[in-house]
Amino acid sequence: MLYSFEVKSEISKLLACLLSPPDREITDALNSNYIFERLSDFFLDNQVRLYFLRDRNFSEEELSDDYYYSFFEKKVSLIESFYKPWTEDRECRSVMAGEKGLLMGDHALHMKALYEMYNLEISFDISTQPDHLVFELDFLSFLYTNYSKREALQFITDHLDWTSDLYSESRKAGISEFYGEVIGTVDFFVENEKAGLDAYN
Amino acid sequence: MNHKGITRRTFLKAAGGAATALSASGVFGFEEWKKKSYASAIEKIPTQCQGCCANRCGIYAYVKNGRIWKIEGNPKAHNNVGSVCPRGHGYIHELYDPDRIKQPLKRTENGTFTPVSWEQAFREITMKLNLLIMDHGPQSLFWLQYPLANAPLVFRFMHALGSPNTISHGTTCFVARNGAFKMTSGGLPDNDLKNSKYIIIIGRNPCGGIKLYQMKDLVEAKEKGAKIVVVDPRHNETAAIADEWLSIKPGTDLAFLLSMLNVIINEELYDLEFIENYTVGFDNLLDEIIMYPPEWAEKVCDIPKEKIYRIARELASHAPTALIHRGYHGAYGAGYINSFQTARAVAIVNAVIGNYERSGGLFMPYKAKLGSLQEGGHPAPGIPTAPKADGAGIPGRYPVASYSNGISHAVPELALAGELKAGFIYHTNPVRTNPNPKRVIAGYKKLDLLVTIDCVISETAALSDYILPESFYLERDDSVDTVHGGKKAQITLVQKVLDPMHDTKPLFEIIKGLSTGLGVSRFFNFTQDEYNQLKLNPLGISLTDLKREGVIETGEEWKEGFKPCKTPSKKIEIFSDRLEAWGIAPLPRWREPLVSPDPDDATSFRLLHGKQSVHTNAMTANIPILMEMSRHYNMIRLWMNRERGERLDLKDGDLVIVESDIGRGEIAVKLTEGLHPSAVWLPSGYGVFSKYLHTAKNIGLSYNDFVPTYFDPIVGHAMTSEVIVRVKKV
Ligand code: SF4
Repeated sequence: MLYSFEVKSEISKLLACLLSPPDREITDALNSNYIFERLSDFFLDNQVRLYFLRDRNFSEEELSDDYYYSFFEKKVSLIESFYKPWTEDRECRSVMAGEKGLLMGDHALHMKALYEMYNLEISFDISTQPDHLVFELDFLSFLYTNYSKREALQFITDHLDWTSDLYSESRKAGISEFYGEVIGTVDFFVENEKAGLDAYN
Repeated sequence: MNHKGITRRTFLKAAGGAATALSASGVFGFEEWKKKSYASAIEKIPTQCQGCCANRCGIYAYVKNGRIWKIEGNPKAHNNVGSVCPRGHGYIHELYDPDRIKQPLKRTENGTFTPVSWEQAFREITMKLNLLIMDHGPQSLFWLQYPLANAPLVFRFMHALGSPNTISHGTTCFVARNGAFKMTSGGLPDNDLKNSKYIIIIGRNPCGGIKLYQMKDLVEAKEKGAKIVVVDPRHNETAAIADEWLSIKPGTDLAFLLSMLNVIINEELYDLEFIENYTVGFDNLLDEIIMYPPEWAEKVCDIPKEKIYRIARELASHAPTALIHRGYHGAYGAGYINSFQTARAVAIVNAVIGNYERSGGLFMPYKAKLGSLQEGGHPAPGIPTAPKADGAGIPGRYPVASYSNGISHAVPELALAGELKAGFIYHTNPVRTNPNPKRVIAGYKKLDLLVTIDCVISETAALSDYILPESFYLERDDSVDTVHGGKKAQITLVQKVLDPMHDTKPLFEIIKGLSTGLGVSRFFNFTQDEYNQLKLNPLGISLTDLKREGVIETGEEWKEGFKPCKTPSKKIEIFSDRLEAWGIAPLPRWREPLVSPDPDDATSFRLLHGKQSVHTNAMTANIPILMEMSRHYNMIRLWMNRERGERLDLKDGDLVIVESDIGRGEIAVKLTEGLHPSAVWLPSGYGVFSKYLHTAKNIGLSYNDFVPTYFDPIVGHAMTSEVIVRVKKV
């Protein structure tokens, strides 16, 4: 089924919300099944399992513990640079060149350049890393709202090609079930969008 | 825009101004952006390496697109003369390490950490401190630090609060040596290695414990024909370039030195003119030294008497262009009950051959005298009247311990005794660097408030109530530094070359933030730049010039010729009246180590430790490339004498259990001819157990896990080689 860019933009933003540190509003939106309904309208039932969002009694405290456990204690990184070589610039002679697992790699610099050129700035204090998945999903949402499929596809190809690595990492680390499923959903969304946009092209 | 169930929140918001058409700009696509970005210019900015070691090498930081590109040694800097060691290169990695602390953290009730704002952290910490000061007095506070150029600011802060308890890590490192030289020659001299013709290095390894200028100087001296003798139980990296290696029995260096003195005095090989003019107490030495002929010493230290005779004669025959290296941690920094007197003996052998302030001998390095804040209208707080809680510098307790170093491993004991209630840990990790970690943890847990200032969550930070993230050294400005002193004084500084990546602050800002809530902000009503310029004023150096150059030389050039010592007699005190008055042997006198391996037990060994060139304590172990080097070169092993190992049915690489009265661990063994049979040797820098340090966690062992809590009675050092372990095959 083909969805409007407005819907895609909303889904991308909702997924960004789910990966940001939980607060009262997110917990309420989960408990009222609002998030479940919006996502299940978008994803066909057989495509992605969303039962983890449905009819549960989420508490802000428990979700915060899960968040802390998954991304602080288990150290699963939501940052793109972590999954990619720090730089591929052959001139770089530092110990970081070519190495993965670091912050502020080339992809982070590119994200910064993109925000600058679109006159956007980071306004949410989860991390100062420009290539955090929350910002990248929000940026995708922005592209869907304001620009064409060409930009969205280019962005997904350049910057969201690591979500399956994130998914494997989260399974290996044994993070909380909730955030494991959110990451699985993000990965599915990104893959699906890429395939869809490719086909559309 | 509002949805039914959730506010349309913005993670990214419009900054104002019109968006550029990115597709047209050629940087929307990552590949196009790369091409443009890779062509950017590289900027070169001088600063100082803070690779967690004492050298603080002068470096140039190369910056491209707002990221560090590489570092390179500043050839003008005395301590590194253009070089950077592996740790320095590796440490820049930490800047981009996801394990770094990204914002202030507060311990929660369930023992985890939650991010808080700086305002909240300052407010809550200072509220608790004010209450503790009210209830227990300011002397119940301490500040423990690895002393860097900011140390004077810390003393100012603690003095403003009324606490004398500013302490360095020194008692686990170097204080026996420093105390001994202070009592003998009034301060710590440097070695003029490159002009020396005969160099004896006892239990010091500048090629493993890295002193870059000394490595260069040793090579230069050797090229000019100098003879280098290494006296060490282990064939270390420096022994590899030496002419001769003497595998001494650990803890007996004092016996070796006393018998060298015996030879030099009996055979009248000393410099009588120097002794008469510049020393006191030589006559007392004559009576004492008679007890220590090489025939006695060879039985104590396992070095044949012929070698002792020969080496004593060779040293004296090359004097005054000959020296015994001043040492550092190894044999007599903080190792044995006899370390203080061993270091005194080193100072005295150098004195009797008359090499002080002589080319090729020892000399007092020149340090610039910085200006005072008083001149700028910022009076200093008074020195607190309360004595130091650890007893440093107090007759009857630890008379030779210094006020500025204090006794670091006394902190947990004083916490357990209820004398210390709260403290700050800055740039050090006592849970890993102090012996007996269980006791250390118990002590730090007993405090009512513990605040750690660091870049990563070390074992100590993990115990803390609050963790305040300091900006990485490349992201901050620090105080001007005089650490680079040699034959000419130098001024250097750490200056900011990059914007901070996370919500971190330099120490200066942290102290300012704390001082407001503690009512002492009037002592910090200046900026870091103003502070630095006031310090530079008497030298006629501008901060702008220093920031441009990185290293500036100042003052006169060192010249040969004796200068009055900072001792009561203004001379080198072979016999010390002060020591005698405090009930301490006024001349070096032989004393057995406190503990020794059981000669009837094949599994019994003394546990020694030392540095490898790729690590500094436990601080660099979490750097992936440095840990990878450790693995690649198979460096994480317990050294054991081959013959002793084979008697235990061990083969190279076998796993062994190491056990002392307080600790137990498993590690692979390295069998070697390069170690005295009575000892095993463990490289330091491993044994990290903080769950937040993902690269280093649970790799290797730390010697501190096996060492009991000791205080040497003179300087209060930790005697970290006074430990016997049993080693068995797994
Ligand atoms: S010796 Fe190495 S780690 Fe220490 S300051 Fe120099 S370069 Fe940095």
